[in-house]
Amino acid sequence: MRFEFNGTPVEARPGDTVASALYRAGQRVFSRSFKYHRPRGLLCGAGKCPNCLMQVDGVPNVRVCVTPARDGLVVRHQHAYPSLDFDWLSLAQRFDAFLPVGWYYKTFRSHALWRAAEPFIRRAAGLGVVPADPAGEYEHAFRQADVAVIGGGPSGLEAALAHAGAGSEVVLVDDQPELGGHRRYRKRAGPEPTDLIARVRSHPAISVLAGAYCFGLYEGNLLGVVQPAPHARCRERLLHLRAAHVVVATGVYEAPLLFPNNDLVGVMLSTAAQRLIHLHGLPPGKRAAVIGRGVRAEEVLADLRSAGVETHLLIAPEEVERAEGAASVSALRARGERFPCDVVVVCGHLVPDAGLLSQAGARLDWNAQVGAFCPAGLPPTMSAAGEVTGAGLSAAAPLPAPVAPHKRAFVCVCTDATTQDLCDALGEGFDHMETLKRYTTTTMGPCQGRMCQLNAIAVCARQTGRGMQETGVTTSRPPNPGVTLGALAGPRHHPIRRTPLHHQHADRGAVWLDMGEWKRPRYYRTAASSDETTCVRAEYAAVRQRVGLIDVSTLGKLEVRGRDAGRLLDKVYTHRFSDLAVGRARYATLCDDHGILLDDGTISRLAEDRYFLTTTTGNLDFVEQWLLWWLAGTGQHVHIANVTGGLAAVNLAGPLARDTLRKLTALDLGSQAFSYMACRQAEVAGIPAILLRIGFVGETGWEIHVPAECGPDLWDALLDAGREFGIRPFGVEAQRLLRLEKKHVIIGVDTDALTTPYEAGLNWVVRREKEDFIGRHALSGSPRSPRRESLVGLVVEGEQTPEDGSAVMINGRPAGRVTSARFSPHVGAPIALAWAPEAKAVEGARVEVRIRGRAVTARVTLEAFYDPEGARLRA
Amino acid sequence: MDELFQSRRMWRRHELKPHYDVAIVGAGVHGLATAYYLAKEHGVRKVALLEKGYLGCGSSGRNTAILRSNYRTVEGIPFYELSLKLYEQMSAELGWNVLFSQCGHLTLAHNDSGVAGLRVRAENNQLLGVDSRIIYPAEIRRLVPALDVSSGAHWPILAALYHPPGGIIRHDAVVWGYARACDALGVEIHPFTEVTGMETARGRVERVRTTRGDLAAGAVVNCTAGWASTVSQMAGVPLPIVTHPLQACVTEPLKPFLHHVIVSATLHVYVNQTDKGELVIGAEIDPYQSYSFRGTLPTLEQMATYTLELFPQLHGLRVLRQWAGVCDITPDFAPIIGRAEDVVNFYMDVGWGTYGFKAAPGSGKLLAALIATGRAPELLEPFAPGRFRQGRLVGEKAAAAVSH
Amino acid sequence: MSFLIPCPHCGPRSVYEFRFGGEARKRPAPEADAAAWAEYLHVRRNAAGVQTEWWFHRAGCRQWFQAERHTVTNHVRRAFRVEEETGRDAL
Repeated sequence: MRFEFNGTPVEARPGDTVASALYRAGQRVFSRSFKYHRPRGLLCGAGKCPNCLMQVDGVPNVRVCVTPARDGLVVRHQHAYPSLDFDWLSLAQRFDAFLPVGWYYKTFRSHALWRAAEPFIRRAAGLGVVPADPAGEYEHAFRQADVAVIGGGPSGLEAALAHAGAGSEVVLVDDQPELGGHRRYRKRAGPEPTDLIARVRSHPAISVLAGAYCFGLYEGNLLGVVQPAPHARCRERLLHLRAAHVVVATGVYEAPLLFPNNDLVGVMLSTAAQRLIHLHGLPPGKRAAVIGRGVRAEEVLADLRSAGVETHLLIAPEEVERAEGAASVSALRARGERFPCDVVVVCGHLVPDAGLLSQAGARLDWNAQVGAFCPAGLPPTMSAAGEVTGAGLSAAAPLPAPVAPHKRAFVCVCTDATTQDLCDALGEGFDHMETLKRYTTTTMGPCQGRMCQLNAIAVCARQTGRGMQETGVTTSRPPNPGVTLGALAGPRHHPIRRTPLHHQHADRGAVWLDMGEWKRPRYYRTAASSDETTCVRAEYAAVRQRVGLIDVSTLGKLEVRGRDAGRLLDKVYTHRFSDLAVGRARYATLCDDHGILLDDGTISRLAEDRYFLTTTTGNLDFVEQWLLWWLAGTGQHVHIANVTGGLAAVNLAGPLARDTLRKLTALDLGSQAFSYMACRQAEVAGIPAILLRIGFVGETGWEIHVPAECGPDLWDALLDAGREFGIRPFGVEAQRLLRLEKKHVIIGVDTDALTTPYEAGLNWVVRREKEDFIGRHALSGSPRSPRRESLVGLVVEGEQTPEDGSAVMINGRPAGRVTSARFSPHVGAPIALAWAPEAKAVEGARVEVRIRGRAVTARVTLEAFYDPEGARLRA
Repeated sequence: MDELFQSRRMWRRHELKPHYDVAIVGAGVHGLATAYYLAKEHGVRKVALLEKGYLGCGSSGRNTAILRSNYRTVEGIPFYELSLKLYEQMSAELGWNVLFSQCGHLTLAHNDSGVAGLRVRAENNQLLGVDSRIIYPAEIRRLVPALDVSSGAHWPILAALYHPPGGIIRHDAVVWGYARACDALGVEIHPFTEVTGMETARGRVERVRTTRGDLAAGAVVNCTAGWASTVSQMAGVPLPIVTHPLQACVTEPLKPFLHHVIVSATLHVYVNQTDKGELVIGAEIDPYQSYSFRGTLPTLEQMATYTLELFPQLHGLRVLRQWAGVCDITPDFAPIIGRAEDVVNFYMDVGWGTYGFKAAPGSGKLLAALIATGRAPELLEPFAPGRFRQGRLVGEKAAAAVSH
Repeated sequence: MSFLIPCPHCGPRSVYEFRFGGEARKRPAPEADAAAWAEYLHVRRNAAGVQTEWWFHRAGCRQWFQAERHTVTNHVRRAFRVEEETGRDAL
């Protein structure tokens, strides 16, 4: 097995991580620190610290100490130039006296100075580089369990067996490649739990997710779990695991001790040394100085000796003066002596890994006996087991320890904050852990506080004279450990909705327009032209002069049935519908109790107890829910069915629409028999249909609804029938132009979230005499605009058409906006719908429209631009 | 330079006194700004800032620190522009770098109606003197090469509203800088002093009860976010506000590659990269009312999903932490600033939704003028507490709500 | 997928299956005075505590119901069908 590191091949053995293989190959510097670019070596060996972040296969900031070595990996160092061993920016540490805590707040004390300095500071920032590779397959999965156990050490294994034995279904999550927890590398702490592991593995009610980490515990005992490479085509899978009960058996992790030069390459935590020895067969160095006391330190000393490492006698934490060395550690100074060594093994603080518990609301109480913040006050749906509770721990060093401010005693290895920095910050009044954290950025780096939080609390407690408990921990927030954006996002999924007539449009050269999830034809290319303006003009002309056909299947369609259907509609819509005659349709608008216009459509009465509603495309869900809401708890007999997906709909419009439709139906289509705003149920081309005589585009026309599966047949039949009349399908763009000439409002385009029907010029839809309806109170006052604005028509002087959104001005001041503007072939000039001051809502008034920065005069018109009497519509 | 090496307390501790001229509830950036301008411009120095947690523990330390003034309405634009200008001068004025990086702010549009919405803003901005214009894919690609501007993207980027003076600031630095300046002017800052109740009589707040004792004040100001309803109800003042959580997250540092603030209203996401190299990503407000500060997984997933729609190459980047703040949403998405209608010495600077940080210096300055002089500056009038009853809503909601 | 709501029809489900409908409030009678309407239209209790509120089970039974939820902890104490007209809010 072989991978590439900075262009050089590195051999790896089975079971190696990238870091262990590099270590075996002699690599000691793994990264450069964030601020001072100090060389950094392996510290935790457990994926908890920032010291081994590298770019692996292009992915930045990968913890190589927990990344399994694989054949062909491409590994590069990051944040060092030109190399890890020699980095120009390490000169920064020579100037650390000029870079005290918060130096940038105090140095660049004018906007201009900061503007000049910032680009340089910014250039030095960051760790890994943005990868070029856009690919990455991720999955989401969902699972439920009676009990989730987090942690596969002895306590977790026992908890899993106990719960499974009591009849629960258990999921055990462990972040190591193999079960066993710390016993895998702390061989002298107790026997490997091989028997427990075998029983867990074979228990039918326990499923084990090994090599998977839990990054957060959310409300309702929802656990976020990441499984790296669950199969060959997937980088990571995010499992949403919901458990009735969660057992946290995450154990402890080790955190550094404070002494000058505690960050030198070669200073490593005892568990990192033990991992190298027992998991990878690697002695961490030739000669070691071990800092620690008690059983654990003896254990480490024995491990080192048996691995062939020469060791000094144990050095107690209080005796340490400093580590020495240039590129890496060469000696430890303690109790007045110098201990030459190439590795310093630190038996650090053991910190209960209680993040999940504290996210769920548990307290963390200081226990001086064990030298740790231990979880307490767990919610009833959680429990803790093993060392995470503090059981069996003993303090590594007394806390708060005497701390001398020192520019080389690093509290935070992520951002190079030292005891000096923390003491300075405390002196400036940042004496609460949360403010201390924010000012010094301690705990806010890639280690998420694991390496630094306890020491930072200790410094704060010591300097302020408060105890550890009173000083307290900072808030634990998920995700912890960090989780990739890819895993969180999961598979990229873009739902698309196509109408039943989609393929008909595609065959005719449709150019698509996205409307929410829907695809609609914007216009149709023809053999003669694919230019939008030309095609739209031709489609427009077909509708105005002959006949056109448009797919309106995306309209929301609801059936409202039952004894009380009319009552419900009277309550919810501004108009009255209980008095609508069977066979008639009516324009319908919907407001909230503030009188704000929410949606519009048509309501047709198909039978005494059966209404057919249309809504705007985007508001279907809202309208359905709105109706259901006002129905809830009323005891009324109404049933609401969403029939949108079940129906295809087209609008056939134009002076020759009647001649076209007549060929396909036995219905009497005469303007008396089937008058404007009438509805019928009949067969068209042998297909059962609902026909509405309405006209959004302002011509004689029918909206025809048929079962979705019959849509293509209807479409084809209508085009066949209309061929002799010069029929042409038209798209949304032509429809928008046609309706604009009629000044028909589109809710959400021409109106906004504060528009009342009065402002939109729809006074006639509000039946204020009705006993009650939603919005009545607000609309019962004067039908004036609270904003003193009105939606008006404009005819713009000159050739240039304003763009949608252009400003309406009076004397150069903003006074409104254009909502829709097009060049009108009928008027022969650009026309628009626009919001203007109420005072200007007078026929013939003048306003200015801003077109590409220039003021152009426009004339207000209150009537429709086309056929204001509606003669053509009713013909 | 001296100050660089001095370790002097930024603000001092005080005993709570029985009487102040002005008691401000909430020592976030709004409370601090109000106190600062009261003391500096109006000589009102017997001011107490009552903060229930540590300094900056609320929304001031939880927002994504984006500044801009490219709002939509004639009321909103000059109001936010005032604050932007004050932010530009703030480092020099306070003698403390607030790390205002005017890197430029881009709001993306992915469909025709989105472009029209941006144009309304661009037009009004230009007419009112704010640097803001619509730019198209070629220029967007030049400014932000990392952005996926390909026409094949599911959310094609048709245009953007480019606002060069917009940018990001270090929010904590603003809090600390104001606190230091307030302290120097004699304003008392009382952290860990929670207001628990108020006694009112004859249309006045007579006493303010806190966890450290009671006090009386000539004027009481509610400058809280997330607790605006609770605090105003103590004075018997009802509000139309509903409170929703708003979440954000931050990633591990990357070498700087993104030098602008990128916002997509359609995708409900905003992204910027700090001077440390971290990406700060913000979401839209949670879809339900709550005072919970616990982050949720679905919102985190949504932030990741939409960030990757814009920057698919970032899939391997790790999120380091997520957090939530709580936002007080008003019916018209505009703040409520002014004196309560029925309680003569009770003032409010609340209802800031998701945009309070952007307006803090300006609203503090104007509110201080109102408290000190009794007259509301013209820029404040549209935001008066009485506007809901009078039906005079501000049109910013239109910009936020018309997304279809 | 975060906290759970015990839908009266479908049982406990993730909140993200639901749509929030706001505080449950009594809509004044049409003839009620201006003050009652102003309160209904412009005042929200916005309780930091237990609140009775509307929810719609969008990804389930598609029914509206009410729930009592603590708005600080998001704990849902109970959820129930609305049997008679109680009160309404503007969405």
